[in-house]
Amino acid sequence: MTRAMVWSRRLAIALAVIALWEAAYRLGVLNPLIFGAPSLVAEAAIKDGPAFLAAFRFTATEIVVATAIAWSCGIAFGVLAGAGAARSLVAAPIFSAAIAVPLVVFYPVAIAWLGIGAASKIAYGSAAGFFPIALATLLGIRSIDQRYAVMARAVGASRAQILTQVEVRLALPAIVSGLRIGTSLAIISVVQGEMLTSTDGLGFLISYHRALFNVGYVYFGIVLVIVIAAASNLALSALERRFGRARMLEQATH
Amino acid sequence: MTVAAVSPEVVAARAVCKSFGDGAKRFSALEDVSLSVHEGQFISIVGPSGCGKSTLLQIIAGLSATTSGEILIDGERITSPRPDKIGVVFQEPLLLPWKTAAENIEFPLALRHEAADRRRQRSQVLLDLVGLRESAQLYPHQLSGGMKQRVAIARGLVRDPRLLLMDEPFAALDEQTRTRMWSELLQIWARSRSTILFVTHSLIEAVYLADAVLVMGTRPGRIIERLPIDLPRPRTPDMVGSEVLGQLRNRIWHLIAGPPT
Repeated sequence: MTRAMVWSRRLAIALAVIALWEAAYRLGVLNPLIFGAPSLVAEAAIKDGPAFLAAFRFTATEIVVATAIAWSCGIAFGVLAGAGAARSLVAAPIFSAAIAVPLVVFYPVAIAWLGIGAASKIAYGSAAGFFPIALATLLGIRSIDQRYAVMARAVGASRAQILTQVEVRLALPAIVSGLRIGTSLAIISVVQGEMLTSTDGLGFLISYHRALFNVGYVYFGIVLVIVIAAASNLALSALERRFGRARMLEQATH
Repeated sequence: MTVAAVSPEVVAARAVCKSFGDGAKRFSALEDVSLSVHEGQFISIVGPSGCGKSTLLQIIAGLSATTSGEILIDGERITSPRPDKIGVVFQEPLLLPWKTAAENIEFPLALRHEAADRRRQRSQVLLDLVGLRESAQLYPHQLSGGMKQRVAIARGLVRDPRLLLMDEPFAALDEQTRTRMWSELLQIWARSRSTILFVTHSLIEAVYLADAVLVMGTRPGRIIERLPIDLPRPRTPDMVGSEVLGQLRNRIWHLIAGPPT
């Protein structure tokens, strides 16, 4: 199948689902108070488009900032902790324990410290994304083939050069899978934070309209959150194609 | 052994001892190992597994410290890797998978921040030397096992070292590829006028390639014999099955395994 054929079939499936959804609403099969309907979503988009667009921009910005913090701090701390055997023994259980803690219990604390604006969502989202990225980076660096480090030392690499030019590169597939998990958690946490306590963003609009039973508005907000998730998925897939495990496996064969 | 008589000494090991552990668990890997390699020589080290030949090579490469004794290169004592003096080729090629053949060869130069055009110039010379001019832009996964090991040899020679250390470099190759690599290596050695210390567990390989074979014994690891190989050069693959080579191989075998019964 060509690329165009794949995409046309995907589009056809999406259109069929929307048509079925609308038909079920018109025929009275689905309760619109629970399931909404495509026409109700369209109505919401027409009536309240600018407000949703502003909220979309607000939420997307929070997510981008939270993800940037989670990626950079996660990779930096993971590399620092993974660079020494003793250090990684100390850090690895801390990182994995932190992943097991439902960070939402700290969200009220973040609200108390940072207020109900964007800062508390960014803090919450970046904390949720940080730990899986740091742990994946640490484990990735600890599990690379040590013979490469010996080779690098023999050809004159300094400790820092071995770390940055050999070990981190070899650990990239593991780091990229950590980024996928961390980014998902950051997105989830930002939207969740907005739904719990906030005055702006898509999560806020979804909660607000749910309270008023504006079902079309709720679903329109959901669609916009899905757009953000899909965009992040596309970016991560591109990253995986470039640096991911499949590519490394392909390179390792022979 | 006329070469040894006239050319200067490149590497010397003086009474090198290496032990691991302490007290009752103390294990002597190398005991009183002394050797000397002169410019232009090809010396093999052969011995049973566990004789410490790889440990000795790690010590000469500066990757591992001696318990006592010293390693001298051009008369200078070394205690850490000296890539300017010693190139190392390992059993596995250990090429970086995201770099092309040329970039892998240039890696030791890139670590020193040498200019790109000078690096390119140097990798061209070495790609020619190992016969991989056409494969400069290929990635490791696109190269055969023998080609990858030739890239590793080129990387070992890129800084024009005084000595090339080779740690069982052909052990992972199939027999036919290995036989071809012997000829390749001897040609590379002759063309680059390098000095090679070659560790192997293959007796035939040790004899076929070298000017002299250092035979090691176990428990503790030590050199039990230095056997000059007076086969004429250039060596040809037919010599592998020759009677002279077979006799030398048998002599080494009985040095390692005990006299014939």
